[in-house]
Amino acid sequence: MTAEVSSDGRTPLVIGVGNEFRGDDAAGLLVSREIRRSVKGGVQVVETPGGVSELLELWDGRDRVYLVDAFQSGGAPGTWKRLLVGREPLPTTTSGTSTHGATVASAIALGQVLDRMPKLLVIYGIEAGHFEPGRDTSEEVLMGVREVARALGQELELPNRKTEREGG
Amino acid sequence: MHEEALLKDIRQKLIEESTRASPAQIARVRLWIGALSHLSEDQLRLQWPTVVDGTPAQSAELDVTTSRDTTNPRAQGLVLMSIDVTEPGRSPARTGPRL
Amino acid sequence: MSVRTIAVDYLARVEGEGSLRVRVHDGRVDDVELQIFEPPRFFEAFLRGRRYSEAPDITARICGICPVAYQMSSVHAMEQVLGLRVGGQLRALRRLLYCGEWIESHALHVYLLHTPDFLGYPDAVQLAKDDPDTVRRGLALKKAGNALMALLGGREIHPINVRVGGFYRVPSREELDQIRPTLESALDIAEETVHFAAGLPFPEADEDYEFVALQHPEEYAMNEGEIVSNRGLRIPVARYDEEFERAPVGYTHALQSVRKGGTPYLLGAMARYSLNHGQLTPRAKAVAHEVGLEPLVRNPFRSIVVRAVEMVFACEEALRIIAQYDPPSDPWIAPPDPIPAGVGAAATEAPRGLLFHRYRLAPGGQIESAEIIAPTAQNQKRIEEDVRHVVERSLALDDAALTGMCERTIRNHDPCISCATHFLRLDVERT
Repeated sequence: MTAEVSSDGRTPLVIGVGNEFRGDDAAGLLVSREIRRSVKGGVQVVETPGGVSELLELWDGRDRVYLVDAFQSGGAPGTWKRLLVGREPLPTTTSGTSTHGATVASAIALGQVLDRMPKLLVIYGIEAGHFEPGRDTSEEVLMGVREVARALGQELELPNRKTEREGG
Repeated sequence: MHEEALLKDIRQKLIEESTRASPAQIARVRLWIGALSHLSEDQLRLQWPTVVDGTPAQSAELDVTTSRDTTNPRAQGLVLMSIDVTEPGRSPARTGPRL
Repeated sequence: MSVRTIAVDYLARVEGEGSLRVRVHDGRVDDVELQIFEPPRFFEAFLRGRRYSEAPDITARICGICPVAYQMSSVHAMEQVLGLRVGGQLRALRRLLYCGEWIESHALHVYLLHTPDFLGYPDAVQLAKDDPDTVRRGLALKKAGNALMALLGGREIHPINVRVGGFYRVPSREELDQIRPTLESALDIAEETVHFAAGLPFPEADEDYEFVALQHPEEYAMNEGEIVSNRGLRIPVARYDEEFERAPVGYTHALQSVRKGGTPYLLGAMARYSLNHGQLTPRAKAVAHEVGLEPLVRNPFRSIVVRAVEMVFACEEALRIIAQYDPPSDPWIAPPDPIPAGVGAAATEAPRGLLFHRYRLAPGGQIESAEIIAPTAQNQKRIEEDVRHVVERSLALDDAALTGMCERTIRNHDPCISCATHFLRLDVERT
């Protein structure tokens, strides 16, 4: 739904990366849908299957971007990590099956080289068990999806409240 | 190549599963082959000794079910359904979580 | 001692989505085996029992790079069953949408995947460090293609605006006019790309391909035409099965596409260009001539030049369609009621080549069976031949260099994304 993205760089953007037909790969999409439902106003939400140039297009010129994706690093499915890009090393994707796992890393690398990064990029990574076409997202990962949606929802609300306090 | 990669993955999983609980031997392995899988039971049995060689499943019995349901979402796949493990020194009454 | 059963329920998976194994024995190539993950097979099962009208949306998800191709082949096949004839401006808009996909897909392949090979970089990121402008050109072209796809498809990645019979919504004249400057500048960049690509260093190769593509009497074929080859084949799409087959390979149960009789064939930009170059747009023809692109391209490394020429074509063609656009009164042609039963087959030119779809519908419009034959799967056997030849010529190289050469050889044919982006497993065994 990239067509919805406005050119206003100040609105926080949530990018859900994934493929809903490939099991746990849907995690990023599910979180973004949850955010769209629960966070009212002041946030833009897009879904994408990934792609280096797509990600650059989406986040270039933005103040705050939150990207949610499934990844595999050998941990228990459903566990998750929050990473601030630029300060913490990215999780290395051990699986070749997560085509966009490497895409996100490449997009960040390319964005840094070409100076096309948002001011703030936060990545929420959910550990996936399987990426098999046609399988449902596993219970463990769905649990992770709910946790990340809650954490991200809170993170999105915080600066708003802060702004209100500062403004009032 | 495809088959080998799949079986290598199953081998990895067997080792992982057997070390998860306690030092255990695997007595039986149950595999399910999807109707559209590239793999046949014969091929699988032929390659099995290599797959389990040096793992705790080395002397396990192998049960293979070949599905004929082409509409199963896993029809292209190979599934490790379950394993029987023998654990020395633990009675059936105490199979709850270890402390 | 106790025995307990642990339910594992674990689906084995292959790391990576493709693999290539080459066996060399005593300085001779014994065997070349390319395996490519084929998502369409899952989707074929998934489509059974669904409504005919769901096919464009579902199949669009097979590939994130060429969703339009899947939509186009599916709507044309369904329209065959329904007896719908989509012409005029609706047909032109479909072609315009397809131009967007050709531009974005070719730009991705030419700049982000293929160029680094020729200049000795492992990937586009490393290339961008030394030469950011080249990568920026690619991104600008890709953005122009994406803009067309977003405008006509409703969104760029998984377009949702296409339906059997036409579109849900058609653009206004003003909307299309707004995109003209973007396409005009993309056309200039595409021309520049042809010169750039033609100047790259090409390894030697001369392959005797049977090229297969659609051919249309009036235009460089995209959505419609007969299936033709440079060896005299000419058939309507409905007779695909009479000339092509999927044969089992060796000891595996995998199927490979071949011409009847077992010979491999090649689809894609090189095939289209070699068969249909006379129908290219003026600037595309002119620039191909300027850089000395031969009418029958037999060196697969030069496919990068052909893709660049096709980007010039797609930009020009898009601008022509926009200039002649007259918004149709209805965004679609409604299907007949009730929906008839029957079989429909169609092929369109995906960026990677001919994409074949066939559906059988039950009375009322439920899909009874679906068959999707993707271009990469059809090219697989011909790519193996390319690899065999390249290995024979390059045996003096060390293993790393030889593996790199194999990877480049596969990438020449723009296999679907998962393999193109360095996820292929390569094994060269020498004994």
